[in-house]
Amino acid sequence: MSVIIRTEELSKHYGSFIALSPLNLEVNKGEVLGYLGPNGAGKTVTIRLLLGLIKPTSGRAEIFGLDTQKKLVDIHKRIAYVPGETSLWPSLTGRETIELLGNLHGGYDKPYMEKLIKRFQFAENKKVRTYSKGNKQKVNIIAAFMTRADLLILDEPTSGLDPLMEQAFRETVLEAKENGQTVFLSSHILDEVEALCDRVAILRAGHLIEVGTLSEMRHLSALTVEATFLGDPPKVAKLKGVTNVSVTGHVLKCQIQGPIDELLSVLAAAKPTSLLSREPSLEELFLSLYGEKETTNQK
Amino acid sequence: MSTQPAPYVHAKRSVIRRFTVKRTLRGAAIWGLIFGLYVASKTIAFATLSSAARAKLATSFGNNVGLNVLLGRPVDIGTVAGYCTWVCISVMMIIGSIWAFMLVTKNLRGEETDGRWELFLSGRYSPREVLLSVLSGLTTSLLFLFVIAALCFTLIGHDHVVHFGAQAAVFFAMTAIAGAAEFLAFGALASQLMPTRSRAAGLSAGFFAVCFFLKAVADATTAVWVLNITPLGWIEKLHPLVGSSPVWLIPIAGFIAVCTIATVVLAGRRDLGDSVVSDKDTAEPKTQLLFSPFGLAIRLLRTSIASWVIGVSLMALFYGFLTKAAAQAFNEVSLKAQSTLGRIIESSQQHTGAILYLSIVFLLIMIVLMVYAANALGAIREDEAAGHLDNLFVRPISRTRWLVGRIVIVASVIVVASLATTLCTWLGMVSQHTGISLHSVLIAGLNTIAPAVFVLGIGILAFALVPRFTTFVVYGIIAWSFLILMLSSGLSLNHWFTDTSVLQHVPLAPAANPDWTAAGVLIVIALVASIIGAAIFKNRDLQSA
Repeated sequence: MSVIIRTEELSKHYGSFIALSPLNLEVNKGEVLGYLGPNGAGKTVTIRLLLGLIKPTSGRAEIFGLDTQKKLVDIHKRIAYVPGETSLWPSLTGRETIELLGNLHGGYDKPYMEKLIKRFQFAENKKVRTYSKGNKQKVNIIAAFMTRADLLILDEPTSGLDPLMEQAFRETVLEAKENGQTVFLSSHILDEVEALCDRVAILRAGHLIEVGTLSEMRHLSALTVEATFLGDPPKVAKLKGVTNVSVTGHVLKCQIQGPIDELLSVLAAAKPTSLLSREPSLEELFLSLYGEKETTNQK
Repeated sequence: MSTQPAPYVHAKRSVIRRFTVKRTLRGAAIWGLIFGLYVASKTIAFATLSSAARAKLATSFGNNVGLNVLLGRPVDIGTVAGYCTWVCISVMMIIGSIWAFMLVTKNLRGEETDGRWELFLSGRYSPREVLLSVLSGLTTSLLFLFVIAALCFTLIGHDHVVHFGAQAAVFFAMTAIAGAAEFLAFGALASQLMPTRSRAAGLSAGFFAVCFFLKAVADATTAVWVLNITPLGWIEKLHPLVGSSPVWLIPIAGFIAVCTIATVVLAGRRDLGDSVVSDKDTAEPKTQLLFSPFGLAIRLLRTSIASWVIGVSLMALFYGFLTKAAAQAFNEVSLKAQSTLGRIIESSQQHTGAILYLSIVFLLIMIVLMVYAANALGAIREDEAAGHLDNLFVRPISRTRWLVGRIVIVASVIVVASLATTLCTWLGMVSQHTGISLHSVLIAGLNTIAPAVFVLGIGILAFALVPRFTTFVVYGIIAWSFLILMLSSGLSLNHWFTDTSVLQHVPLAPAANPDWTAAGVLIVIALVASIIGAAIFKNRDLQSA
């Protein structure tokens, strides 16, 4: 599998402030990578470094095997980008802006552009200054996807979009994926990442703290177990791998990491009336990772 | 005992006014000081003339139509007070008016279209309260300008050869800022009428041009009554220092009051973002130029470029028509007396009045072209600050190619504007039968290019090195050069000091022969600065506002 994006010790400092600690990351051809992190974690800085809008303090990045500092224009011929904050030219109409951005890219798929305009129900003849935030974001999304670029870099692409348009966006990303395009998706919307991404990278305060598929992460994370009894629930807090035990009336909730057989034996002996177990959602994984690091830092 | 922090900070209602003052006070202070230095240089230069030279100057300039159009009808021009009023008031009125309408349209319509008024209005303020707070802040800054100018004028008046009292100095300062006060009020009204900042500023500029034209008609013809119907005419009729007529403050105050009331009424009635003159919100796509960054720049800048070229050409045509009339005055006074109007020539050659007058006209054109270059550099920086460049540089467009494209556009406009003004000046002169050849005028026109190109080159370097200070650097170069030029015409200054002015290195053609070597050096410096700037820009981070 060929690597589309590779960063090696890529970092960015602003004076004494470290916006991005040395980052080593690879994105493979045809995959959708979710890039997660709270505000100020360094997601946009990473993207601006990859796009060459800002220069790294140290380290390097390659896209399509080309150095992002030396072969920027060649790289950009095969990239499309959707920014999180939009700054378009207010005196142009939406249609003019989309065609301009397509021309600046070097070309675009016109029938697909028309299809996207319809899919996003875009009012193309209005001046950009009259658009809401969501409509401005539609301009960027249509202009990026209509190029059929090999790599799509998306920074909070659905900010300002309503739920229907979010659905249209997901459909468009899946089309790109089927088409063999690679997608680097920075997002706060965990449902969106969970639905679209093959792998997830999680960033915190400029540090990459986790990379992997969702199943890998789930495997490493705790399973949530919820059991209801006729009488008092059994004592499970001291069992191996069990954490976060809570008892509310006859209902016991806990999490377990590792072998589950010992816990199941104890629960079964107490004759539960119901037993539920589920893998953690991305949101729970995300929060647990942040919680752990926060605790570690506090120590 | 430890003190607990207050649980809730109660802010004063004047927060918007203080915020506006903070943003505008420094500019007002700088203009106040420039007004003071300008009046000092002109007044002291005149005061050092002999009585005979003053009398001759008064006779020659007193009834000269051309100069009357530029500076207004003089009163007691043979006295220091009369000369000071005649030479200084018009200049300060023009600068003050333009500064004021640019400032108010930026702070009212500009802030509204940028969405910042929503933040105010979502709080505890009504639209009228926000408007009045901003206007009150701008008025405070204007009063600060007035106070600084009044202090400077009072100090100048203390000089024993100048000699006018503090009361006269205060009235003089009041007259100097009257144009700014009028156009602060009109600009506020224009901000309610027009949907964008540029159109509000354009309406204000148009109204200013009409007012100035009416004043010029009144000053050049027997229709003196026309002064009574134009806000700039009322200022001329105040005659500070020479038989002051404060009664003309009444129409000025009335004009300001009417504009302010209309502004407040309109602001209270309209929706946020709305305007009396509505804008077209939809349009059929026109994509002819939208294929490259160069074409995009032409598309976005074409109206502004056309306005600059047409505006400066019309100014040149107007001055061309006045050549013969203005030339008579210059024929009759000594070189020293001429120098009190500005640096004319630095040679001992004898020249006709028309040649001397044209030299001043081309100096004005030179300064306008420098201001255009500064304005264009401000637009380049604004593209980066607003994030528009991100849209370009995430696509296969090299930064160097984009920057070279913008430099080519600005340089081309400078050359085209220079040639257009040359042609228009000549056309105006032809009708006056001055006998000056097209060749002489063409040489003078070409002589105006190098300083503007120099400003462009240094501006590109500043844009690359200190992008957030680009406009400060380029306007600073122009203001400094102009100030040194004015001071050096009246005061004896060390050449190391005067050499810091770009204008000091450009002989004023056609009175003096152009120094093509110096022009070449300025252009080479600009070229080198641009190349270094482009190299730095290629490798620096993009910086938003």
